[in-house]
Amino acid sequence: MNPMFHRHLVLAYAVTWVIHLGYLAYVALKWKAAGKTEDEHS
Amino acid sequence: MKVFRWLWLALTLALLANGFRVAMFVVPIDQEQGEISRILYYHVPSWCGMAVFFAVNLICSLVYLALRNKNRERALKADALALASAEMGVVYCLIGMTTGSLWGRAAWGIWWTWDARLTTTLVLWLIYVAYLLVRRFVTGPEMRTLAAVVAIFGYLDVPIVYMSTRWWRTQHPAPVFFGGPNSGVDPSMLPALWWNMAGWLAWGIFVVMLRYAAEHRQQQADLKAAHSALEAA
Repeated sequence: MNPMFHRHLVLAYAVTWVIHLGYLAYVALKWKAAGKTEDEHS
Repeated sequence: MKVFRWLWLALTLALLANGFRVAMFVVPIDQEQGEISRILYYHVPSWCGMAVFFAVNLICSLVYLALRNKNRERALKADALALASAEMGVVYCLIGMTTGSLWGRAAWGIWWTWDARLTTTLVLWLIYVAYLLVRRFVTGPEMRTLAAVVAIFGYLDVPIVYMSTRWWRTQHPAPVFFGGPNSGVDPSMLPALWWNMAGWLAWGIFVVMLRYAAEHRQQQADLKAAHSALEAA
């Protein structure tokens, strides 16, 4: 088996998780920002 | 609601963990492509997730347009869900293109080609990025209406992407599912595909729930701010 192929498999799985977790972090930031705006006007 | 979210997350992680186990250690490798064929188990669920969430975005955009002058509260909820599902669809589309590119490099020796499937997919991704930019940078009361209209036009590219490998035979392989006789994957590979499909769809629903809640919270906070400003004036 060509080792480069295996590296691509690991990369594909890793990139999938990195993008999903990165977006989850963005959603968490949005939640915090909304809470901050809510506090300012409560 | 919080308990439900935690339970959903636990279920999602269990599905994904089992999906990974089955994909890596249970199903056999493809005889022609070897280990690299296992990318299929993350690649295909990404496209399914994208199709589901762009469809949700379309439905919510139509609901928003139908209700915006009749039931403001429900229209805003539909709009929040439209935004959440569009973002999730863009994320899945990006993952589909990235994993496809990595697979293409190993299988074809190229990262990218202007093949019908790849090109229409890139255009689709750009359309939904444009939709998100409209929502981010257009100001004023008609922003949501404009975004809903863009979403409806944007969705027109989804069936073109789906049909592209049927209409034009270029670099991308022929359709694996619903492609007629001699299409489909070997039945021994299906368990890994179904587990990962279920896991990534559950993940998408979990994140969309959170994003919807955040957006709805922001809408309520903005309404409060607008009322405060009116009272002050």
